[in-house]
Amino acid sequence: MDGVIRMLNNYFKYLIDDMRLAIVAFKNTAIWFPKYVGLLLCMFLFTVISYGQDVKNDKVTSVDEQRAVMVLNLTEEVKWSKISQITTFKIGVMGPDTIKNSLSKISKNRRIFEKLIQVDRINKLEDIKNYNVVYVNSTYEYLLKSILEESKGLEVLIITEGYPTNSSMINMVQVDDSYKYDINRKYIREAKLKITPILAGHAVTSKEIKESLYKKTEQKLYIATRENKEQKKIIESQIKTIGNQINAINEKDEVIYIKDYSLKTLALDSELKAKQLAENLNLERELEKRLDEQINQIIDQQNEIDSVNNEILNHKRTLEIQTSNIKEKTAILEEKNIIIDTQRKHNIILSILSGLLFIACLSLLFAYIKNKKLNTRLNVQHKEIKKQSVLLTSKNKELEQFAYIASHDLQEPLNTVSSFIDVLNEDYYSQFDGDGQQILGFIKEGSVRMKKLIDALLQYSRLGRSKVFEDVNCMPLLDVLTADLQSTIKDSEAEISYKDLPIIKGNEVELRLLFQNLITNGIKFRDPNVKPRINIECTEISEGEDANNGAEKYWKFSVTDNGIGIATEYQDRVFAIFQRLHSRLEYEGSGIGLAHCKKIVESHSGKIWFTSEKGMGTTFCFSLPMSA
Amino acid sequence: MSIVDKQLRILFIDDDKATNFLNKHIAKKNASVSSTVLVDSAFEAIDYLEKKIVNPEDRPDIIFLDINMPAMNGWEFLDVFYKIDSGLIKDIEIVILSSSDDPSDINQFKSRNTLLDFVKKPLDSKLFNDVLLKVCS
Repeated sequence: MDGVIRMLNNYFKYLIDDMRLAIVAFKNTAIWFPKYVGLLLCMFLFTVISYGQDVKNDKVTSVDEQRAVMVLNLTEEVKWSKISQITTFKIGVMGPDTIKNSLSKISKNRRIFEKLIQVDRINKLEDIKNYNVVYVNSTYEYLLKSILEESKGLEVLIITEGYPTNSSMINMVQVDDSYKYDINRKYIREAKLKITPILAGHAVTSKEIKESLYKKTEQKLYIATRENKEQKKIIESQIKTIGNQINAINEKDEVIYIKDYSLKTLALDSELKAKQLAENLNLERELEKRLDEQINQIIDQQNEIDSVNNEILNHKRTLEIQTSNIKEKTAILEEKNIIIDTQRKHNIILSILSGLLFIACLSLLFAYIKNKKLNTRLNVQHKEIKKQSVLLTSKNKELEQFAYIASHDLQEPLNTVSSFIDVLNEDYYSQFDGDGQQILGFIKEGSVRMKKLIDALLQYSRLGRSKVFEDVNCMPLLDVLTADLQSTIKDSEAEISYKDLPIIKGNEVELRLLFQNLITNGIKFRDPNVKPRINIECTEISEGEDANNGAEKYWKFSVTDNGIGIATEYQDRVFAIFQRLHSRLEYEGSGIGLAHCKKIVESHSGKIWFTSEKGMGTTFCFSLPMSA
Repeated sequence: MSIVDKQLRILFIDDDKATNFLNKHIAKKNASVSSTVLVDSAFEAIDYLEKKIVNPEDRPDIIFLDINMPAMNGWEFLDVFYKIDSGLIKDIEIVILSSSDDPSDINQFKSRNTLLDFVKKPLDSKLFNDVLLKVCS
């Protein structure tokens, strides 16, 4: 018998795969139930009777759905004291999602104690207390002890699966394709739950019983398998008929389904509409009240809004004023912007200019620094030069002073000597013999020459002292000079010619001495057989031409004679003081004449030189600046 | 040799003994000179004048004065000389007898119009005679 049922069960599984949709849709509807085929009914009856643990016969399909039905069925056999206070019956699942899904799917169309079923997954132990039933699967190896501890005295039914016997309130065990369960009364009592006698009666109380039951079933299964094989053939033939009938049923089912669906929707619609109407009425009343309140509020708000509007208006006016102000200011700003723009341009130009200025200043500064350095160096040099020139001047003065004092002081004893010689000559001449008288003559001569030398030296030292230059007209100067030299000129039968001589700047006395010296030299140094001819000329020359000063103009005088001439090698010597080129017997003189000339010309910022050819004559030239 | 009627007393002031000797020699030869006195310095001259000036008979008619003298030169001497009572010295002629041709000395001479002459050394008979003629004119 077991074997047949099992076979039928298996067969039903195949069948259900095909019919799944239809069955799920109608499984809770009682109306269609009797219409189902007798075979199906038969099969279910067998299952329920032989395995009384399937408390309510339900169309269990897969293992998960079977489990779900089992859980629900078990639940219905437990009594909760506070069940009347609950609106929804809550089932918590601690295990794989598939279990939870199938449980919620089955629960959708079922009621427990006429209450809706809510299925959740439980992740935290603390949530257990919120549920009426907690299903615990051993897959995740939850610690039952803590779960039971958590549910103590809370009227929470703990249903476990796969745990050892008696480890929870109700422990399910899958044996082959069906479920068995055992009950731990102690835990149930602790949870203040009660179980129906039916539940208690079908429970497997111990492991041994369960095992023996299992063995018995096994044996029966073996016999049934044999019978099954025989019957299989019969069934197979019947299957065919069933298949045909199923087809017919399917067709009828579809029609029924359609009709039923329309009926159902219609009924639901009317019911819903009535409910909705009632609810709507209530809602409208409430709405009305709320509307009244809201109207009052709106009126208040309107008042507020009015006052706010007034404020806004005021604000608007001030805003308008401010806007106009802003416009004015914008206009001013634009004007200012234009001004600023021009100023900016000015600034740019200014900055460029100032940059240029800065560079110019820098270069000026550098130039200045350079100049300053140069200047300081120049100043130092200048000071040195000044110092030296001061020194030189003082030395020169000293020298001149020396020459003057020396010659002056020499004069005194010479004067004495000379005077006493005169006394001797006048008063005692007759008392000397011939030699003595001759000696007196030599002494006199020597003293006279010495006097002349000293006089010349004195005169030389005095030359150039006077720096006051005046206009000197050379023509009358020479006229006077030739008149003074008349006796000399007459004696030598000299010819002196001059014409067109200029007016020059200088010291008249010195210039006269200059001409006098040159003329007397020309007369003195002559061939005794030749009448001296002396020509004086003057031309204009430019000298010292350079970029800075331009040419300075000079008068160039030349005094030409037809005398004995001077060898060129004596060029320098002839102008030196006390230099003589000839014996005193040939040409007398102190040898100071040309030195005088040189000193006079140089003190007039000029130059003196000569050109000469031996025996042909000499030309003495001197230059004097036009602007002294 | 006497060209001046007067008999003149001459005072020579010169620090150089030789010059003084020469001057005395020249003066002695002149007939117009009654006496010749020589002093070696300006100080000595002042001493001499202080003693002799009171008596008109001892008072010199002409003083030949050298300029370059030690301690007190000719110009300094004159400063002192002109402080003497002008009644006593008004007839005394001063002649500068110097070898100096220093322009400052010449200017000094020109600025003092009480001086008779500036004679350049050395003195000789002719120069001396010229001075006497000047005095008498």
